[in-house]
Amino acid sequence: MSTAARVRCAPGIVWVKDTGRALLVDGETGRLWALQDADALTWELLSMGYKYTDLVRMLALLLTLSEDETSAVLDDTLARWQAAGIVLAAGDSAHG
Amino acid sequence: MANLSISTICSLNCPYCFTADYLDDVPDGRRFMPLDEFDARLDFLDRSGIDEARLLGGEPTLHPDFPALVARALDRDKRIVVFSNGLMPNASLNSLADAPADRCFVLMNINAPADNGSAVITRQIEALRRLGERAMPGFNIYRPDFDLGFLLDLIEQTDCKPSIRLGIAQPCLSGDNRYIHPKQYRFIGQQIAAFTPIAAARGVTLEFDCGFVRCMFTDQEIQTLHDANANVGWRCNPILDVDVYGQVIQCYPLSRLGSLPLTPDIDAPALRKTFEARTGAYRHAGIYPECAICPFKASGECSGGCLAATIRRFRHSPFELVFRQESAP
Repeated sequence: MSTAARVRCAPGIVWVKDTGRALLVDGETGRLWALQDADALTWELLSMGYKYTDLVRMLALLLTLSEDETSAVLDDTLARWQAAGIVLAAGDSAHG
Repeated sequence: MANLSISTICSLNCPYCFTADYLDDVPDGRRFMPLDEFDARLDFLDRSGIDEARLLGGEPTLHPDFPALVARALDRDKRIVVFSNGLMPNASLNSLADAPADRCFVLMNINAPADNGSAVITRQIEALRRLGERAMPGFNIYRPDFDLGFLLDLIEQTDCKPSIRLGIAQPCLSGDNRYIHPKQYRFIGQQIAAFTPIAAARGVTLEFDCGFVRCMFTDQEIQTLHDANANVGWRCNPILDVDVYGQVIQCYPLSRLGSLPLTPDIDAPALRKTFEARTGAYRHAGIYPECAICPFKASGECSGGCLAATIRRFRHSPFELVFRQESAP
């Protein structure tokens, strides 16, 4: 069984693409995150509105990983970001 | 430092004015700081260890009690610094012209003659002539095609301080005012570098306001600036602005980030610390993506440009991602 989960950008987060990084700031708290390499790339693609399957496909190409490996990396990344408060769970709906 | 705003009105309507957001947001009703609140403002300067009363607006000299404000500040041993467009009522001009020269300084913001017309520049020349060494012209660059040559003639005509304070028009957070885009900075830098020896040959030096960045000049151009004794700097030091209502803003272009009340016990370092806690994270960026890898930014030699321009680079991306998570049956 799998569950369709949603994450969304935390409402206070603003970001900028710099050379070699994506810099994220929580405008409410002043917290700062500097994302590098694959993290920065993932954030940028998410911000461009990529759907999950397209995101995995694109990241797999750019990171030269298989799609299964990329999917695992992406899930881990999203979990880290959720724990950090950069992204929030946006409601779950169960599927069989 | 802290600026005391004593007027919300101005006799000019400069397209680059960085109070645009503030004036859009401020409630109607109070055009001038009430005279009876000025002592409290001076108390704030005293407990902050600030010996300058920096008066701005709008146009500060339009305050109907301007001469009294100047007298009170001088009585409190403050040095008066006024940011003016030069279109001063006579009483205001007289109060500044009569102040001790070593305790009075007027930075007169002057636009190109074509922008404001000959009547305006004529009055500005008269004011500069009256103020003499107490005043110097300032020029805000708000479009790439600017010509500073007329200021050299103006300085010679008036015997004012032989310096030009140069500013680069910076955006309010809304971007509703006219400003120079960072992509145009290099071109602006070339023109300033070319003008500097011309000014020096006529005994005039240049001073840079905040918001300039090092990379708008080549190393050779920077040497040219130094050779001409230009006072250059690549800084962004937001100076607290206390408005006519007694609210403190980090800096006018940043007014939409909020204000703090000027309470009887608070001082400038405490206010600055609170504001810096709000905006410090943005300082890790600069006006260019390349600021992230710039050694001059890393060393602190260059601030990476105006904080308001930097914050305007940031955006919120309201993405939502749906994905499947494997879970126990």
